[in-house]
Amino acid sequence: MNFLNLDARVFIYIGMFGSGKTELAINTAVELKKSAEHVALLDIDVISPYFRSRDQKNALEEKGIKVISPPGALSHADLPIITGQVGGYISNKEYLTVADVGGNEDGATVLGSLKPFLDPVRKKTFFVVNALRPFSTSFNEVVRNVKKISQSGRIKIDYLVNNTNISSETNVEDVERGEKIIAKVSEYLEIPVAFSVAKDGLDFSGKFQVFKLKRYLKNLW
Amino acid sequence: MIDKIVAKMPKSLSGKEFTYCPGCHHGIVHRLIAEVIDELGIREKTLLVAPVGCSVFAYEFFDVDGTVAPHGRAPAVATGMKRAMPDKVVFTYQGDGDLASIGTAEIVHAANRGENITTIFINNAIYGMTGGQMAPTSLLGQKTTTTPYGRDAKANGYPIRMSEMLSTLTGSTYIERVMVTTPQNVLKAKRAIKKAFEIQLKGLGFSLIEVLSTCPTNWGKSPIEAGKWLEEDMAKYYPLGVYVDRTKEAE
Amino acid sequence: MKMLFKGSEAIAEAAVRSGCRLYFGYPITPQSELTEYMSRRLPEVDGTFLQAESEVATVNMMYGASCTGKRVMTSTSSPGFSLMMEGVSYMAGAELPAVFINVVRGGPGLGDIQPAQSDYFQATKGGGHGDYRMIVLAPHTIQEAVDLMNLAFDLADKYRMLVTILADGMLGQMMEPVEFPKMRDPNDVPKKDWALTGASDHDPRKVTSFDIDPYELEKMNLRYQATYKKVEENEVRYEEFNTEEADIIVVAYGTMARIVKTTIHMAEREGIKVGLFRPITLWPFPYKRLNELSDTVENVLTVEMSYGQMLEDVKLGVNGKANTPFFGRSAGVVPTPTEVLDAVKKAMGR
Ligand SMILES: Cc1ncc(C[n+]2csc(CCOP(=O)(O)OP(=O)(O)O)c2C)c(N)n1
Ligand code: SF4
Ligand SMILES: [Mg+2]
Repeated sequence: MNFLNLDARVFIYIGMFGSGKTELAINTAVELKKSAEHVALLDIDVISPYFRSRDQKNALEEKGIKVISPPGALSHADLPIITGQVGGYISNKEYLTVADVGGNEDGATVLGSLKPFLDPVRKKTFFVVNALRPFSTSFNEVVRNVKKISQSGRIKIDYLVNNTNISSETNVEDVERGEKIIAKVSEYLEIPVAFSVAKDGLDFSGKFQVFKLKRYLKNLW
Repeated sequence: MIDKIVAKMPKSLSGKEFTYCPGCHHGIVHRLIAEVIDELGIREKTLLVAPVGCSVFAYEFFDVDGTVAPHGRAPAVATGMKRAMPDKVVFTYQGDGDLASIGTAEIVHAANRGENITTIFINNAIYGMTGGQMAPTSLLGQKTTTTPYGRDAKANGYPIRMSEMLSTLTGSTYIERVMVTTPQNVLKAKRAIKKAFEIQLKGLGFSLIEVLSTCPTNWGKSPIEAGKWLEEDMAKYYPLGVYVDRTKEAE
Repeated sequence: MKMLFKGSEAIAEAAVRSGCRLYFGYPITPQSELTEYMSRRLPEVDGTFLQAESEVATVNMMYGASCTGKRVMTSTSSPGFSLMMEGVSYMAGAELPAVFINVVRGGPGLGDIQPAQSDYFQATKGGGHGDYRMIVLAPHTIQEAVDLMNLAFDLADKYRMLVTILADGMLGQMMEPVEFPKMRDPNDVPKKDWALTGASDHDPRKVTSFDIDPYELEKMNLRYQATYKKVEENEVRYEEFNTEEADIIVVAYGTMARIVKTTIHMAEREGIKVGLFRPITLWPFPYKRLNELSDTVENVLTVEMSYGQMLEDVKLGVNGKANTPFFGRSAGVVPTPTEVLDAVKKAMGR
């Protein structure tokens, strides 16, 4: 997946809760870092208490990726904290910046507060769909979700992403199932599909480009 | 005269002998509620939530399905019942310690949700069951077992006027304060209780009738003295009347 | 069809499938997703979702709803469960069935929002007042949590008891593929000849936890105890993994058992055979089987995300037949498989 072709400096992932935004944001940052000097990952997920980008902070910073998250111990709090730095990295022309936004309408609302920073920059917003997640399994549900979330984030969605998976047990049919639904949504809402995601090791090719995903957010066992 | 009004045993009472002291108003209010249930013909679909307090046995006295809530929680229990069975008539019967002290959160939020239940609130300015301690409704200067020098605003705050307070909530449909000291006001009280149940039957929302009530035993007064103190002191601080009536809007 | 669910969401969906149409709750991390899921899902199936003003109100709404004989549940996390204890005791005394989910977080007090197992005593030994018991189920995967929901409601109805699913924040928050059972008809649950439904087809019924006559109250208590005995005889559940000819047995439940399973593979590579004994019912605790297993090893190591709460039950089960070393971390710190392996080696004197 070549993000540099997209004519954007800021890459924003939004979507339903648990659709895989964080994993995608991390992978995107890693991908960008291959060709760009300065890459920042903004953890502006104010919804999830666990499994957030900030949990991978050390690993990512070793790779030279700047991770912006609530400072120190506060990163374990269930407080909706957005640090002042976030706006700075959105505006900073030196940086390619990836934003990991919290799930559902509630998570996306945060984007509204960052509007003054976001409006002037070149950016692309990706709406992530996992069609094997609750409330996302049909054409109607996905359409409703896209509309609701773009409304509460007060942001235009540039691309859809098919991230249909059931974690380690994902097979080709699962990803295809997602492609079918998302292709229909894409046609109806006139939003192009950027890519389908396939986990590392899954041999998949379909209607759309494929982005190979490495799993960073691992369980303890 | 009161005796004459309440002489016939309403069908919605079980016939178990009341446990209340002579001159206590709990019994009168029980009869009024039972008469209303009879007249509305709703005994077979009425569920009662009794409190912890002197009226803890109310579930035995009424001939309807019933339970006892933890102290103060009757409005939450009634909410659970009503949400599970919206076609039943659910009412709570609560004292002032129960409703105005330990259970303030539950009554405020049940009223605020416009929960379609009825609450009968017995304000006797004292904790009857536990032996005459101060209630949040005890009057200033009133001697109780925990205010031996009289209730002092500095230490204990002021007597709380629940009907007034709850009537500020948009969810409250009907709130009236009554007393049962004379045949006239007994009739008025009964009309109020009936109206409250009718509101629930029509699905119009939360209704509460506060009854100023005697506790001769813990007030240390004879039934006649108690009635007098209620009319002269309590009713002065807790004026009778309709505090909110949103039935028109609700309809 | 398998789908990807968070633990909290999966438990909620499984409850709906078990015929539960009444949910009362108050938000608290790390289980708010369960509450939110219900707020979306229950209206879809003509159910009732109500956000209560507190956990105190929550448990009493459950009390009222359960009085009518319908299936009802809530979910909360540690501080919220503490606040419910009065109502829990009243419900136990009134023999009202209901299901509680406690997604445990670090404590005591406000603690933190990370996973812990430090509410074991509260769940299994009381928490509220009086001689009551609750059935406590401890799933270790999301699929198991889903599968246990039907059982939880069935046990609650069968014995007229409260059932708690004791999960931890990790189980509540992680995502796994799951498969759900078929939707159960909410009217197709056991008839309740005690429920308060209006005295139209029965003499007025009374549901209380109350009798001021001590001899009568004693009778009620003896009835509870008889029920608890039946549950102890019939409802003990556990899993054994690798215990045959094991060098050491580790006792762990929930997320901790997941971690021990990884430790088992690590230990194998070092030539140590670690067996896992995993209680699924924390109450009733599988004392008997643990006692039998204690004959086969020198060491029964307890591993918990708390400081030796289940250990007390393990000791009762082992009853002196083996050493009972302990390893645990709590407060939201989750022991790693390597740390558990070190504890295994230490216990074995290696
Ligand atoms: C949690 C709890 N705290 C305290 C009590 C003790 N208690 C029982 S009744 C009561 C006060 C009752 O007063 P009120 O509600 O005014 O009823 P009354 O007896 O005056 O009719 C108290 C404090 C209790 N049962 N439960
Ligand atoms: S103690 Fe007071 S309130 Fe209680 S029954 Fe006697 S008179 Fe009535
Ligand atoms: Mg009183």
